Amino acid sequence: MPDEHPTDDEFFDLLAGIDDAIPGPSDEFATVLLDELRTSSPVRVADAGLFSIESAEPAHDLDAPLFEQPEAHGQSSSRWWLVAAAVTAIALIGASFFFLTDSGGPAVIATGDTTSQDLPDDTAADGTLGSVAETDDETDDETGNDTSRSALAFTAPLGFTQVSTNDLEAVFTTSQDTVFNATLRSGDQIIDTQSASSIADATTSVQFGGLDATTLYSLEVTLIGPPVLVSPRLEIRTAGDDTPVEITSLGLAAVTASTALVTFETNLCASTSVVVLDARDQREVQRVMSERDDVCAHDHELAIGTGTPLDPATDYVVLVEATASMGENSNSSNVTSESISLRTDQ
Amino acid sequence: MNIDEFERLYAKMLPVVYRYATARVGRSEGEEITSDVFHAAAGLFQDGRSDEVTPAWLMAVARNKVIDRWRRNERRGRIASMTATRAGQLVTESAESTVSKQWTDVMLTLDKLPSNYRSLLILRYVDDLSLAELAERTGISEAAAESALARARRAFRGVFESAA
Repeated sequence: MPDEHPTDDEFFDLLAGIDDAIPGPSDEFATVLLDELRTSSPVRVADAGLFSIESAEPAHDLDAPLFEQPEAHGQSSSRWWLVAAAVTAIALIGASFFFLTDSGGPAVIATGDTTSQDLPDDTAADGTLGSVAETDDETDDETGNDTSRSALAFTAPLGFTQVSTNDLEAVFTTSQDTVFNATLRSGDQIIDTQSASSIADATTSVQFGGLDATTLYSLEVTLIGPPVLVSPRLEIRTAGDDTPVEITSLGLAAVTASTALVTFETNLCASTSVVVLDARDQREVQRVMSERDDVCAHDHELAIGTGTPLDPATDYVVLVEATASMGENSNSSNVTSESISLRTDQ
Repeated sequence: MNIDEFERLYAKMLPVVYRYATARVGRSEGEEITSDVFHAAAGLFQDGRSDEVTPAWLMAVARNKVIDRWRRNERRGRIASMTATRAGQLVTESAESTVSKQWTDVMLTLDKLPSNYRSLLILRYVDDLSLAELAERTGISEAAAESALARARRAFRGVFESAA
């Protein structure tokens, strides 16, 4: 991969088909598993990684033969909401897993003096962030099955993962499938609430938008057990420090006759825009904005010329502007810009 | 779906689910996930919901469990040991000429990446999700997904080339 910016095609060539390179299961594995399926007790849908907020009662008669043909295929209404809940839960997984380990995350101001209401057993007594309790869902080395089912608790405490000026995301993990309420307050005033479901041992995320950078918010999650558990109340002000934002590198890549990729890095998480100017009269030719969701990026790439093609015979000035998303004055002073010349026929 | 049809589905999809899982979490955990997926399917079958058990459903459950396993391993700090184990497996398999050296390098490189980069690359280039699907799955905009993917590609390249 000699190019500075490896392309989609290169990665399709490199990675596609790795599944096919894996040897298939042995005949013994296939046979043993089939025997298990014919003879063992079935598992609940929840144990399959889907979601159920049903009680611990088995979803069906464990004594019934596994492959007994059902006499009727009618579904009770409870089955349908179970499936709907599963779909919702899968969506929650998808929404949350991406942000789990973003090393470029913002320096969130989260005041440490969170309040606690009925602290769950697995949460640090001082309510500090990042105090991930050891979970009770240890895996049997031989079977891989959970050897115990812990009581409802936060197995990873509520903490913020993605925060921009106007949005925040928080995550937590529970030991069991449960419904929860997430409440965002400003002082005693409830700003927003969200009710959804969490899956045991899967990171659950909640997002809030439309925030004011200078307001002190608090977030609290209540698990609707039983028992009912309330997380420590975390406080956050989305405005961060006032370190000046800088563009630390700026370049062009994948330049064709009509398009180019503007690549640059910033020292802080920043939202960015690229303005293409005609070098002769500084007239704005086109403007490309980064997406709001990308505000925590330090490495940036914005394509130009994809909408309106660039003219190979024209000299351009590409002006890059970065706005620190966490700066206290991010909407006014914590902005910087750099420029670079471009002529696509070169 | 009757028993024969279920077993035909099992025969058809077992290698697919198995390869999918083991390529992402190694052989040991991949076998566990494969087993869990088909046990779940059997549960639905007995529950009178066999019509829900389709190849797509099996793969969705497998993908769900793989993602969960990635997260669980990361939370428990198992990434390093998992990599070592898988490296050992891969070397063994390579010696049997069933896996190419490049594929081994690719998998070891993926193992060394942050989990969000690794999962993005796999979902995009192995599972062939479109940018729109990737964005939907990760809850971000397409442009943000594209940008994150570009960073993941660069990170991959850095690790891959340094290992070569």
